[in-house]
Amino acid sequence: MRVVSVALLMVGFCVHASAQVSFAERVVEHRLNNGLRVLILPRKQSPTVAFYILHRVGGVDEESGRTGVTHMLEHMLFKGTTTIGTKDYEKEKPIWDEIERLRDELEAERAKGEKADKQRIAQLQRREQELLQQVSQWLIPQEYDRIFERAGSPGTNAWTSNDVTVYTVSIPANRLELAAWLQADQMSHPVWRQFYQERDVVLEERRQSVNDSPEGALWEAFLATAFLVHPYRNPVIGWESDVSRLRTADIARFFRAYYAPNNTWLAVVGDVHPDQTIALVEKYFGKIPLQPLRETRISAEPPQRGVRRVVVRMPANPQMLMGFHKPSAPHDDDVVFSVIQGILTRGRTSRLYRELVEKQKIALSVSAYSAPGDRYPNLFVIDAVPRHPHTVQELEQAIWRELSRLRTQPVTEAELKRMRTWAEADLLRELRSNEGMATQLLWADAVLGDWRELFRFVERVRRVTAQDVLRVARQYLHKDNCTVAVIEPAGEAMR
Amino acid sequence: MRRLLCTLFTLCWAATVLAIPPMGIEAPPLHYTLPKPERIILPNGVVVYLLEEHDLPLVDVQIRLRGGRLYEPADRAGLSTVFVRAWRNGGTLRHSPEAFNTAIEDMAATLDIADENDTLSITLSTLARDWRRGLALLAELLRTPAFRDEQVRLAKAQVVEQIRRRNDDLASIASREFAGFVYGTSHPLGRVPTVQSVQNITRQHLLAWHQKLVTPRNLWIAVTGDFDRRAVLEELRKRFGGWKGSSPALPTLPPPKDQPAGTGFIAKQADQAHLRIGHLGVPRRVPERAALDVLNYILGGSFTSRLTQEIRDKRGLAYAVWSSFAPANPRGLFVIGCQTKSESAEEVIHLIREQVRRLTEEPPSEEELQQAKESLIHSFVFLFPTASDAVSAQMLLEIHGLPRDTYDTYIDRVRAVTAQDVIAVARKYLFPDRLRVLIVGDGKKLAHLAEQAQRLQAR
Repeated sequence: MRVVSVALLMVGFCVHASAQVSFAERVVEHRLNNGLRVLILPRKQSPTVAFYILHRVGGVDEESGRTGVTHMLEHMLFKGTTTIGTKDYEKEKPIWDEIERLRDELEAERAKGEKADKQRIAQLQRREQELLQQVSQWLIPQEYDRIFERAGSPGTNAWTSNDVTVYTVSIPANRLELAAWLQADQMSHPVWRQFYQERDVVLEERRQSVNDSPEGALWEAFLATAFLVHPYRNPVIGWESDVSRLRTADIARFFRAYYAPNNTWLAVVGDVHPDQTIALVEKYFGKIPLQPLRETRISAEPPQRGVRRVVVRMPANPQMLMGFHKPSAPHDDDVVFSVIQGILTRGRTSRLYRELVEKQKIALSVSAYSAPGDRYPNLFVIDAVPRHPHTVQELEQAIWRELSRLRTQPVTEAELKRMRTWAEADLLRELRSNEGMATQLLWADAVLGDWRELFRFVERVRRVTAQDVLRVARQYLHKDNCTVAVIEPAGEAMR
Repeated sequence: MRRLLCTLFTLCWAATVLAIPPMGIEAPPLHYTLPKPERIILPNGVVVYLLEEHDLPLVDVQIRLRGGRLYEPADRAGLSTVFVRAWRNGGTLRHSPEAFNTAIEDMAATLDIADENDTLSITLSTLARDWRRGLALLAELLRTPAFRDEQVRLAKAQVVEQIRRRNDDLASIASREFAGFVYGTSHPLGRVPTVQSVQNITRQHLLAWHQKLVTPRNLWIAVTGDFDRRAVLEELRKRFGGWKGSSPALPTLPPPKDQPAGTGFIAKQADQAHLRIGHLGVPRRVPERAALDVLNYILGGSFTSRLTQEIRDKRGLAYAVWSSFAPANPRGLFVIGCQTKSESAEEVIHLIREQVRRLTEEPPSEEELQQAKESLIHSFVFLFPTASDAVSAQMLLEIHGLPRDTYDTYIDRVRAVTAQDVIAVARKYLFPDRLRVLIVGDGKKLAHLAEQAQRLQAR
């Protein structure tokens, strides 16, 4: 994520559908000859449009030693193109090439660690500063953002998850063509200018959202423990040593392999005419050539055989995560899990809230969700914060008691009914925002395989029975399939 | 059957052709109508804002009252936060908490109460078919809450737990302690609840607080969504019309004192230093609001700002750097925030100081001015994502005593801002020689900065 913090916590979205047939009927789908898929949802609520692009590439597609490259690439796409951000690209190009050659030596020298020639490093850094000074005369800083903001966009952004990369722009409805031009240019002719400054920005992002963040540090350790071999074990932002060694060649290679139009989805939601929108998209995105997609071979996570535990010691109060391997959406069992999630933690009537927060008074809060993605089997996560002087161990015991109840006694009809009503209301509320709908349409189509899954969900929840919940709870919610991660206070004395 | 409720106010931007690449892409005129609610006053003083919107079968109700954290007695700081929790979770005279929550959640409705500095808000969202039942429960909670003992104890214990945890996170320390460092730790805007001040709160205090604040003369209700206005109005009259009471006397808040320049340091083991730099800002009502928004856009309020360019883009020193001129009663804060690795903290502080000074020394360039003005004008359509947001914002203008046409005139006010206006507000509201700097970070890695600073404790 480029502006808002915490890139690594992109939790799998809860998808919900409803009987809002009128919205489903309004969705227009289209595929360009180069494979780019377009979804349009016209709505007249206000003269604004969400113009969202998804590339089906995320942390899972990275190789060892180069984790974080997807997220780094996301940052670099805002640095401009051969047209945007430059007064004369032909003049700046040779200078960037020289910086790149200088970096070959600088990075190699640095990699020697203790044995590095410090004088040589200082010399190279001075030379790099001169070159950066020289190239700055050709740059128009942040021109991409300038154009969008000046056109009325409340800010351009993007985020990377374990599964996908999404570029998010909202614009006043009269600037649709501008958005189409700029976004097509951005995915066709990017220039990797100021790469090493941006790499430092990402390292700052990592310090902020992982190193110094209790939630971030716990999340990283949790995933790396729950997954032994599947790449969901890697943080989206990348391991620190990997990020600090990324080079422009790495992102260039990744860009070519995954930002092909035949690996790209576009959602346009808001005050638009579908025919005009398709014509604009054809005009600007149609020229981008189709490419053969890289074949990725990803290790499957073997079945877990026994509880796994991990402790993170840092200067913060205790909190915990429990995770259970499970199939991801759109698998039937995932729908059952969304019902379980609601019964356990949704609202003040939910079982864990009533039991842990109100009755036993051992928790400050408790929530549950599926994560960290949906392209591959994922985890059902329970996230709980104990209330002093109660410990995470007490909390875990209490959660096990509730899970055991779920495995032995059928849930009530009243609980199931409530979950059906929630599912209906959730999609209605989601439909209120162009941005929310654009995100959901992209995710459902690119990850689940069909945007209609959004609208099918209510019906699927309606079919879940108490027997389904018993079966699923027995199959997945047991100790041998569980990973527990906790924060243990350490370092400076805490209050 | 339905009559047209809106007094239409339409903004229209002239067609423009881009002078930037890609040359010649046209922007046709844009028409935007700020949703305008109907305003009705019930005989007992309750103010009602209504706006029908039939896009989706949902209804939103927002109730606002004057009286928030700033009005708590110092020895019971935290009262307002405990109050809203115990109010929401404590059930009503008719319904136990369990029965009340079941009734709400069986409709997939949401009902929340939140406290802010000087207002409280109660928000209800229901499916259109359930609005009558939702409104009845809302009225019941509003007028006959029970504040059951058990829920009062739970609310206090939860707030105490939050106090125990508030120093886990550097950003939360930095924001909270910067307020204390600028307003003073005994001013309502600078003080914080303590375990003791929360323990001092009793159920009697909460009941008295409710009796004082929750009266028909202190109530603003906004209803937006898929309903029939006559039916809703009738229901509102039934639920709130016969209720009597006078408006609460709320004390005038003491004006905070301007402080001299100073640097404070709070030690917390970390990789980054969290910086907050600024001083007292502006009250809610300030004639130069548009010029201040332009100034803030140029300084650190956008992705193209000077701070972002100098600190993030050019030097890679931070992921986040921003500035804010948020208004508050009686005085807001001018604050710049940044997180950077310990080694860069000194350089970043220097760069920030330089940017603040520069604004008071020279007017912005024509290019910067146009960039800021056009961005603020053209992004106006995004200010209120839903009709419900637009109605709530207009209701809040009335509660805060701000001109009711604030949003209607905003674009013209921005359009009128000149480079001279920007330097004038910079000189009036920015004081480079009175900047207060708060550093939260590692005592060892930042030893040289800590030595020259006043050592503070995170409360």
